[in-house]
Amino acid sequence: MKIRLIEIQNFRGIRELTWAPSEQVNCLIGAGDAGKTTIIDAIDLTLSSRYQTTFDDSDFFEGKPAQAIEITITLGDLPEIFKAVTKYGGHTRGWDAEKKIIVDDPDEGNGLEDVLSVRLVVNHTLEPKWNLYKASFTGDPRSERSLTFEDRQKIVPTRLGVYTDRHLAWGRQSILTRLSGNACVGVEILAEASRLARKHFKACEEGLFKETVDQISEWARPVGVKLGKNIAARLDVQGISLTSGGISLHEGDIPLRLLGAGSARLLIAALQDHAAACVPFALIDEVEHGLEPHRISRLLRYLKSDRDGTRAQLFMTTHSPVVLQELGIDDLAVVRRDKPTGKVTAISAKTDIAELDSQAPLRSMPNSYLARSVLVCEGKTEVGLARGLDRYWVKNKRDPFATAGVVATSGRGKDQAPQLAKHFRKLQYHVALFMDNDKDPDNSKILLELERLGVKILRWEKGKASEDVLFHDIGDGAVKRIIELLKGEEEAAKILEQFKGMAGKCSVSDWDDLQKKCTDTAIRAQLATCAKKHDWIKTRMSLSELIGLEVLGPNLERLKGENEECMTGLRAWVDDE
Amino acid sequence: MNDIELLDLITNCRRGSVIAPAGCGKTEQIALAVLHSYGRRLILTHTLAGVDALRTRLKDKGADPTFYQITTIAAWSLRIASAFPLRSGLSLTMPINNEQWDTVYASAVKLLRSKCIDGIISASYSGVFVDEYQDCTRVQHQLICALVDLLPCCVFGDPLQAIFGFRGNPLPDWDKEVLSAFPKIAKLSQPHRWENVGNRVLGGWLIKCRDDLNGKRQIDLRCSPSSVNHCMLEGDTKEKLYQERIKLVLKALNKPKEEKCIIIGDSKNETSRALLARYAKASAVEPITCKRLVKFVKELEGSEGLERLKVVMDLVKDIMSGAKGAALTNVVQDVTAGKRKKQLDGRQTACVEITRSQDLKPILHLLEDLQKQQGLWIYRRELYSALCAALRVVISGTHTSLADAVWDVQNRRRHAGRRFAKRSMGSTLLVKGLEFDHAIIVDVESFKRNDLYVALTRASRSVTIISKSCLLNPVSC
Repeated sequence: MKIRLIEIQNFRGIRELTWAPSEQVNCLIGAGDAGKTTIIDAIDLTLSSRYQTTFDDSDFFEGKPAQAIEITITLGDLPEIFKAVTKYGGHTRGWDAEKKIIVDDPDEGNGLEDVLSVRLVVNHTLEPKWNLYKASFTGDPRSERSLTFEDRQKIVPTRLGVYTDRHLAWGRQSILTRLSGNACVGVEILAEASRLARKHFKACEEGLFKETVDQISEWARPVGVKLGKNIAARLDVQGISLTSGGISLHEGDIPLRLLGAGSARLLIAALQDHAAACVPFALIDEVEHGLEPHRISRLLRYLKSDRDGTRAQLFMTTHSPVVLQELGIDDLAVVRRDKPTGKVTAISAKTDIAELDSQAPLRSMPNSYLARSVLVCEGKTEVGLARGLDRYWVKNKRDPFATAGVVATSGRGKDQAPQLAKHFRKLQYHVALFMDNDKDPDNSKILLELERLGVKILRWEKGKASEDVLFHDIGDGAVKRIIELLKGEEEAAKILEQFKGMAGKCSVSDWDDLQKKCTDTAIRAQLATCAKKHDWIKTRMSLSELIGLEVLGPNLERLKGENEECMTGLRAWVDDE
Repeated sequence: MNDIELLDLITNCRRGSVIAPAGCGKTEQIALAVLHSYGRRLILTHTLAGVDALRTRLKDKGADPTFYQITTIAAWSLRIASAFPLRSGLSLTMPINNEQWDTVYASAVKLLRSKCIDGIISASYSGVFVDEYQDCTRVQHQLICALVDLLPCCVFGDPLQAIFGFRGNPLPDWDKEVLSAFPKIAKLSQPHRWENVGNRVLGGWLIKCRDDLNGKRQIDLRCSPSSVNHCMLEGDTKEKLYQERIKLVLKALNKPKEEKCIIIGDSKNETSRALLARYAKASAVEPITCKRLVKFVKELEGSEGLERLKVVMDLVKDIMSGAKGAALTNVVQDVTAGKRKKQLDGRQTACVEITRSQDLKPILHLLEDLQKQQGLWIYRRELYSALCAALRVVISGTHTSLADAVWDVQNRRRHAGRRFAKRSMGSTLLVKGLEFDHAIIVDVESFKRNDLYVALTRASRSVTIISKSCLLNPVSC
């Protein structure tokens, strides 16, 4: 079975959500209060139909129980038997996989898949109700139909929460129980075990509580209670009643639940996987919890590997770039919440931008996906400058980028960077694009399009690359400081040779000479050209970061016109987020 | 063909029909076929009584109920068509008349032909059996044909037992339409019903009668076995003939008390059947659309005062004997004229109240009170209980009009099937598909071939035919 559509109304922070998850792995990412865990909880509550679950007012959107919670989960890839008219055939609906919509009646002749919708409704009475939902049955007795107890067991997801102990015991709905084919431990065995325990205790107790017990008999006398001679401490039947949940996996005498959190989860994940035939859905909170990066990789690769089609559909949340690096773009869904309306969206991270290899950014810049805002920079030079500026601003008591949830990332050149900005914008991130202005992207319309989509475009003065601005447009002190920084580079000698090698009117003998002459306009121009030609700054991210911190930052006030606008625009965008 | 070969044929054929003469073990054959089938079978029939019979038989054989679903064509069509309104176009969920039922069937046909639920149908059933196929109307036949495009199907029935229903709905032509959709694969020929009671001779004679009827030959009662009695009806006046007939019926009814007797009369004449029931002290079996009841409802509506009481008393007279209606009416007339001073009893009070308001409660009180009276014989018991039930429904507020309540009660009864008294009076239409110990056939002159066959085959022990001739020449149809 597969979940085709999840619809949530008025559940916790979500007033409304409609999401068609992917068939296999669904990793939910997004800001802390976007509603990722709420979505996982919604799936869990709806498909588990645990009648002992209690709801309270805080489970309703804005805490208002007047608007009922409605969670509808539509299941496809149904077992044949579910489709029988004598079972739930009459409740089937149609799933249009292309348009990702449900049609109330099936239509397999036109390629719709037969699906069933399970709905959880909680109204102000706080009494949960699970039924099969079909719009045309609203208000007639057929809307009261629900899955039988036996069939409900077939859709219960397993959840790897932060606490997973129970899955290492044979309790209700635990993975071990399901792996054992839901076999129940005979009541008589458990009864006999507790009888033996009482017997053993009786034999060994001798004298342990004797003094107290004797005292009690004496104290009872004055109040007129006569206790018999056989008063003793014994194991209470109630106190040690064993249930099958009390039977758990041990290694020797040590219960496996005492494994480290990570190991326990790995083990359970593996068990879960083998139970997949009977457990169609797995829910994992914070998949990285308790795991070192290499074990995360191992776990994810394992969960994703193809094993004769019995893989459970996976829903998980994460805040870890390591997790993202291991996933495909198809596996990722970005969850966003519009605070004023409570409308939540979950969008597949696959944006289908032809010009962009969408898998690449996930591998190379997982951090960006975990941010709220992305500053897409044309190249590494600009990333370095932005980071340097961030450090400079922090020194000057401004909020760091991190507070605003901003991450600067390299867009790999003037043509790719705008596409990357578009990609993130489509996923509803706040996006700014920081670009040189010496050359325009080949696609002349892309910048206008981005602006329309709401991307903030930040560019230097027309005709200028970052190097031009650094060498030309800020004071002499700045150029001198850059020369100093270059001189300190490991490859300083090579850099000097490259400068000397430039056929130019001005020649310099060594670093000191260059230091002296560098304020000269012609030398500045030659420095800028050479820096661009030989990628002095571009290939040295730490250098550009230092330049941002020590050169650009302190000289921001010297910038004029468009250059000044570019920098104030950047700061304003960050503060705006 | 031995039994196993027959079962293989029935369960494996893509489309087929089995001709099942009366009493030749059709229900048994269907039950065995279900047990012999692979996967889950859908078994469709026409009445809840039919559903019951099949279900009981399967239960007796220990069949696992998860491997079959037995229901009526009506219920199945309604369920499936209303489950997918977008595809079937059906908007109603509670059909209340024949036109609406026809809409249900047509919608189900549309749905099945739409290809929208092919997967659901094939996930649900491995095949279909349809019982009493001769009773399928044309639209029901279309429905089964649409279903059969998706599933293997074998139908069971007997064209000679097809009796034109109370509705103007034509039946499909057996030879042209049914057999072309469901080629004949077998004919049952063992008269189990009679063999089971040691009356093999009668069973054999009926098989021969069947051949005669199919061959459009007359039946000569002079060469019938001893369990077939022919009573020659003689008399020169209509009156005499009638008296004679009652006498013969009463004589023929002289059977051991626990054996079930049925008098089979003219399908078209409800009143004459009621009258005969009255004289023969039998219970009249009423058709669903009982004319007398409908007439009563119509007359009651809008009548008042003594006229209203007369309407009620006329009905009382028609459904029971010994009610002393005239005396009651006299008391009420006295009360109305202010002449009566004596205390009234419950029944008299009810009658007075009937004249004074439109309330239905006193009518129900009167009817219930009459039932308790010694020596009173309700010979139209079905009508009586249907009316009481309808009155109760209106009084409890479920329905506002008596006409609706009557329809609702009758309709429910149609699905529930009826219980027969030990001595009943019915028509071929009302008794087809049912079994009795003894049958007494009157009005045989008005019978068509199918009527005659159904009438002759209802009883397992004896058949009495009261007629003016010992040669039976069915009206051609």
